[in-house]
Amino acid sequence: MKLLSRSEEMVLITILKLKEDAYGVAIRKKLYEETGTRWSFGSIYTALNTLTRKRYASKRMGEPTAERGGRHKCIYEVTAEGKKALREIRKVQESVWADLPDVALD
Amino acid sequence: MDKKLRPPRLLEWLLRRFLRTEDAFEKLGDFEECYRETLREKGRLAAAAWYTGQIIRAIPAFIADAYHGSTIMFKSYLTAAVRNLTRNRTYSLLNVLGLAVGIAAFLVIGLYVAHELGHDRQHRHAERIFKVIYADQAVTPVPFAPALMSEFPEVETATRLVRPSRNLVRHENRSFFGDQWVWADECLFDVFTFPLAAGDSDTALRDPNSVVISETMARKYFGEEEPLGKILHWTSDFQEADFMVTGVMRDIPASSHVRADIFASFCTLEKSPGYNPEDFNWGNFWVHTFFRLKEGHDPRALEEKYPQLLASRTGVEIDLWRDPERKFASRALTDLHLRSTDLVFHFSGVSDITYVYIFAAVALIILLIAGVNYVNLTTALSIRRFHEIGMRKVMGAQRLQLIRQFLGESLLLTVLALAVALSLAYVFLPFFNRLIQIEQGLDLSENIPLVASLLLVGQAVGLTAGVYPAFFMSGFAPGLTLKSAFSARIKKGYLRNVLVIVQFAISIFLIIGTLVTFSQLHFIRNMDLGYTKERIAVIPIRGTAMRDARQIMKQELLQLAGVRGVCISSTLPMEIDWHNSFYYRDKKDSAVKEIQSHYARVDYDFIDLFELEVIKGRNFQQEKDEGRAAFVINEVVARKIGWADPVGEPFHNQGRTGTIVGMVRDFHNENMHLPKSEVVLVLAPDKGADIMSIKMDPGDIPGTVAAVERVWGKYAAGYPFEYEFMDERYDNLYKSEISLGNAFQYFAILAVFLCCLGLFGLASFTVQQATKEIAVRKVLGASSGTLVRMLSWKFLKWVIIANVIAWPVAWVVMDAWLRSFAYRIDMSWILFGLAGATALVIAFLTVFTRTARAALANPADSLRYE
Repeated sequence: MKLLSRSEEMVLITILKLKEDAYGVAIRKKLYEETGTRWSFGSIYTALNTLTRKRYASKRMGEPTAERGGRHKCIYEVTAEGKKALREIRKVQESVWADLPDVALD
Repeated sequence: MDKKLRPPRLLEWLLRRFLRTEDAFEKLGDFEECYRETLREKGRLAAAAWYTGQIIRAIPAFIADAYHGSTIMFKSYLTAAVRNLTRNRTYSLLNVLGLAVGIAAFLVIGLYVAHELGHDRQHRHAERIFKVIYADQAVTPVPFAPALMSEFPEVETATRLVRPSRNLVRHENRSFFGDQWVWADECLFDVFTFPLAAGDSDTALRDPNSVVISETMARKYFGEEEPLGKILHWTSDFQEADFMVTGVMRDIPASSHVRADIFASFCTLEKSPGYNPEDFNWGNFWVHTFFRLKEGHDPRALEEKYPQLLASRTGVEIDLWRDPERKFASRALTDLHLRSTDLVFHFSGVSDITYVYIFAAVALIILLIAGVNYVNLTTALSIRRFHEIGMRKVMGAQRLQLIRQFLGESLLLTVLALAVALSLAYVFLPFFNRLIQIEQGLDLSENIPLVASLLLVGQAVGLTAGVYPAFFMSGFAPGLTLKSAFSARIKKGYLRNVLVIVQFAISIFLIIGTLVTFSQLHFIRNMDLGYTKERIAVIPIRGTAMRDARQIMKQELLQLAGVRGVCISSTLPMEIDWHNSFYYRDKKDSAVKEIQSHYARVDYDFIDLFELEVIKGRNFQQEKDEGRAAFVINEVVARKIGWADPVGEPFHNQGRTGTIVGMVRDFHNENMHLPKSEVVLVLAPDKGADIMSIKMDPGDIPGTVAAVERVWGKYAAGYPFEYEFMDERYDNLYKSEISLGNAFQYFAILAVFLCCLGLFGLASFTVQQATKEIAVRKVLGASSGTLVRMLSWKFLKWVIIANVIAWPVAWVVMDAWLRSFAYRIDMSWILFGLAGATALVIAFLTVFTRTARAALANPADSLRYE
């Protein structure tokens, strides 16, 4: 399994959640809603770049909108490989967490 | 409406610059969306600020990207650069070397100029320190400094300085002769900034018989021992005394006009056994007076008050020099070194600002020539690289990459040239120091800013040289550059032609300058001076013992095998510059009148030994003139007074009345800058006649000198033997002219060399472009000779134009220089012709080597690719 950084992992999950409309601005908005921090475009683009290079996400051209000055959106999708990776991460995390009794965190 | 919602066009354009082309549309879209949102929520200002923030954040990645790209290609660029260098080995070497030589010359001269201009700036408040001068004399009477301090509140502090002739100084068994001993007031360290390493600067020179010595002297006399409180024994020509060391100062740099190894308290002089009150009154000018003005006061205003100061002093000795034409004035300390050639009796040697300007101009000229050459030659060489540029473009190189490659390559070469230049400067500095005769040599480390600024100059030259290939050549369509016919399309460089003309004009000017300087110096050295200076050794009379025994010593010297004659005098025929008043009786009204004249105290043998020509009357004769005052005058004196025959006329000087016994033909009694002037030879070989001239037979001169040294040893009482040949001393009168001549010579050679380098580069460039033309002409029947003539003429006409420009300029400048000599050569057209011809011949040889090869080549070679 190729390791993912935390931000890459979160961006990948966000793409999955956004389904058909996962592009830069939308991803950033969703991440703000979920984490409460404003992510910089730089960190999102870096993560998206890495994910695309690792083939966990793919990129395609979307519809142009007036809001973007008539430019196309760039829509990201999670690939089969990406889904597989997410499953593995979830499995590993759950097993890691499972060993830890709740009292240890108090 | 829509336009208002969009980000400002400028910002958007900027952002696009910094983004990678392939994903610009995605990001620009995202940013615009966010911009609009911020605009709706927080207003235009916040939106614009946010957008700008995004631009700034894009920059680091942009730079990293650019760097990434260039490092990948770096190896390829380096290979290309090295291959290109080795392919054109000769050109590259000449190119880099030419620039290096130019920069090195500039660096060396720059150091010298900075050194000269930086004189006397090391003192605190240097701009408020002044020296008192009297008319053209840089000395004042002794009471001047105390009077300044007591009468004028605006004078903060003042000191007197006296520089006696050289002394013998001893500590226990270590004795040295010739260290610079200077008498100074206790305020010395107040006026000047000479930091003390030990001792108290306020009191060090307060008491009689105290000395402050430099650190070098401390080591020399006391080694590792503590110098404070030690005793130095001092012996002068007239007296001796013990001095206690009360302070040690840091060595005074060569850039200080006031310089000494040992400062001794001035008050010692007033308490010494040899004290003569007459020397300390207002009538004797022999001390240097320096003072510092309080802030905000005008030295001119102070000068106005000097007459009033003098009015309050009375006495016979003041009336002697109360002359409305001659006034006391102040001269700024910072003007003493370079702007005081109008004064005599300086504290230490001065220089002329004109020479500094000349050197600075020459340095700039050389740098200019070298820089222009480098740019021209690099440009010319890069023409050969069209194919490389074409290939790179075909393989996908961006224009920006090509620009970066060529600029980088050019910069790399200049860095190389700078390194070579620094090494060259380092190696040649000692040589240059000898050439211009600076006391303490110049050093690269003394002027770091200059060296650093040169790095910038070098980079600028490098960038300029890289501009042509980087910006012009990278812009051509690749298909076109790969065609071999392309080079013919390059425009003629008019600017380049002008530059070559200017370069040659400068070289020709320098050649003429060198020729004129040398002719003038040759003229001075070989002209009939009116006296002889050949094979005459000059020795000073040192110490009381020798002074008392000088007549015995003279007789003893005359007994030596190689000695033809000996005379004792106060000075040499070429240095008769002291003057005094002489009195005579006017024929018309029988009144006693005064004439100012230069004079020398001489003995019976002076006129014969120096072969002065007696034209009226006779030489001094012992049997007739013994025990009475006798004078010999020159023609100028007789003419001024109006005597047809001066022999037998009564003459009076300094309490002695006698007659004029003869008249000599005028001779050059000072250096050639000055006309022959009044000279009176006074028969008085006793007081003040401290120079012995010894005429030697040709043959074993070193043997004779050794014999003279043995005689000297008998009377010297510890003084080391000194001697000098008169012709060498004569050359010393023209020290600055000779070093100027030498420097000019070397820099002229350098300039000509650099110009030829440039011409060679351009010739190559042009010939290369005309290869096809030459081949076609040859095919159509032109002979090699015609072609060489045609190509050479193209360049030689530039050199001829350069001559036409250089000649009048050189004539004007050199004429102005020659005018500073009272005796000078007429500039002949031959010198100009010679300079022009030299430039032409060198230029022709340079061009010929290139053109001949092109003209002799087989035309098929250059045409077959068509």
